[in-house]
Amino acid sequence: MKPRLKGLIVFILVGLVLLLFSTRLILILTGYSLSKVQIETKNLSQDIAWSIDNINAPVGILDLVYFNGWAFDRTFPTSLERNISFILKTDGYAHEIAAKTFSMPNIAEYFEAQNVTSEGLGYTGSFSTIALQDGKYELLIKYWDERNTPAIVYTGRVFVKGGGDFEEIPRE
Amino acid sequence: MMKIEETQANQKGTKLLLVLSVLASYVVALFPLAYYTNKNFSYVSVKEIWLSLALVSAHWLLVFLISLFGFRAWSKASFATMLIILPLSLFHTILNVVKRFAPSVYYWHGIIVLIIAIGLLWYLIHYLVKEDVARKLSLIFGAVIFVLLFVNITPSVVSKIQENRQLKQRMDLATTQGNKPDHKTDSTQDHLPNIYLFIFDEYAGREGLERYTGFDNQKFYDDLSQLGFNVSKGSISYTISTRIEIPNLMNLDTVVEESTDQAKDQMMKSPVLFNTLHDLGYDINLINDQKFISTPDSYFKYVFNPTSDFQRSESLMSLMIDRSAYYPLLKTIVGNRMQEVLGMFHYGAESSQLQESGLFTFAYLSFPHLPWFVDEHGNKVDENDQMNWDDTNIYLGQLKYSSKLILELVDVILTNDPDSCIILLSDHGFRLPEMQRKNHGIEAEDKVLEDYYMRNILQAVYYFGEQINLDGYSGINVLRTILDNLFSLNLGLIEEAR
Repeated sequence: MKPRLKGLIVFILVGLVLLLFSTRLILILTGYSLSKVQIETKNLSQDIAWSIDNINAPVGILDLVYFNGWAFDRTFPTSLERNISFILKTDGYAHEIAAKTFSMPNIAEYFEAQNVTSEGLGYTGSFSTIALQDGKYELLIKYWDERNTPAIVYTGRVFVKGGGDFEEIPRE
Repeated sequence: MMKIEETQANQKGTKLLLVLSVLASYVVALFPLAYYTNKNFSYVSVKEIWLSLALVSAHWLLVFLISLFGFRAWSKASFATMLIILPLSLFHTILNVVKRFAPSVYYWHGIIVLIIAIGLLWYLIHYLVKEDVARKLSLIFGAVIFVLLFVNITPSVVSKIQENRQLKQRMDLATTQGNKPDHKTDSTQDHLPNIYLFIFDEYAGREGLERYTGFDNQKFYDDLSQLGFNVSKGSISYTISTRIEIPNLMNLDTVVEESTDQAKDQMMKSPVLFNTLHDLGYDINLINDQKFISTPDSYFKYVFNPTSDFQRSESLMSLMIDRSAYYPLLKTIVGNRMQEVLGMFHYGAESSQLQESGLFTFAYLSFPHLPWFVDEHGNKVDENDQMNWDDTNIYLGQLKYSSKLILELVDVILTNDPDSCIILLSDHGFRLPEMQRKNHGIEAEDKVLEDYYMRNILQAVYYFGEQINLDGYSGINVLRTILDNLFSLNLGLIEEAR
């Protein structure tokens, strides 16, 4: 076989391998790859005050969903180190999506009577729906602060991924 | 001697064929542009065509030079260019078709397949296709595309030339008033109250909105009334074409009948409204969304252009990019449309601080016109719904959000400039039946009735906090009445839209 023909075959084979694993590669390179985790959801917390202000429909070539809102623990409103994750739970496993937290003085002001600090009150994050397998996903919020005792909140919101779409469905 | 002449003739012939084969690749590169131009012939301006042509030419040159570098043979480079440039130019269109059958196919899959195909093509052309065969193939392919172009474009060009002739004849008959103005800042400005005219494209009037979406917009009208506006819920425009209605508003009469860019641009060259206000001593402040208003810059003291040519959501150039392999680039650029919209509302509000008097603000906002970007809370809507006419809630969401922005806008103006006149208009209402016809071939049962509701417009006027009877008036008659009331121009009314 001529070397140039060998070169062409190698080129095509490399291309086909890339094609096969491109989605996974793109997700890893862009930081939108999601791993499967086990989340215990038997003991849901009632202590977390929370709001999801926005979850937009998928946008861009990565089908990104952006979300934002605020949350705090009513039993520890003076926290200075809040952390938030979104959890998409499906049959047998879940995906945890870390959100960035930021100060929200206007929300703190609204809860002034409860002495809520503004530090880390707001959160914002994004995930790619391409990283999700087809199926039904319950949305939960994971909250923890400097006490390092995570609390899981059930939001009552359910999404379905299928046929290239990612849509919220009404509560059953 | 004979042999030398023959050789020279052959060399000349070969050179000519070489040039023709390179030109053939350029013709192929032009094909998508010609196709989209032809499809939207009435809507594109000459400037848009030139800009798109420059972009396509630069793209062709780049691909050709890379091919030439790879093959170091003109005809092979030309042949490769034609085979590469079409899939590059039509990449997104092809990808969308594939996604219908395979939703898990993404942009990068298409790009990898394209790269593999280009590699394979390069190999085949480089090692298996001879230079003269490549030349012949280029010429044949180029000739076929050229014939297709010719057959496609000729009827449009001929009809356009005829339209332009007719338009020119009408323009000669219609005496346009005044010449290009000089900016006046004389003492008479002190007595001229600021006037604000905002035109919101596709903002449906109350009746049309209720008919097509079931939503009663009474709360919005109540809020406007509370701010001192005189509101009219049954006003209608003369047409559902923005290209006709806006130049007519600018000329205070129904002078344009054709929905073409040429007719629109012609009547925007020296509009009666601007000339009249200039003669009265007004400066003009323009908010020009999508660069729709083509009146020369010399008319304006202040101009706010939120969109560049590259960002115009309905321009030929953005259409070309959107259909090509470079569409993610466009999504990034036009992704901030809402920032442009908010920028216009912000500038509109700030216009009340530009001059204490003698300022006429003319604002054209292509909002809540599609694409539908936001819901009623200002949250982004699904990308797939941005062109969705079938779910009327999507339009309604953007309209409700625009109502909120309008109320905030007039609130700021009234705080800064209460002794002013603010006119809120739309050019037409929600064109649902027209889009049902265009998109799905569904004809309205009662076309005349639907035409009425589609032309039901927003019409609300703040007239120095006073009551003024403009109920049921078209936009043109609103402007004529206000100018008559303010300056006793005796313009009178024209026949209302039927």
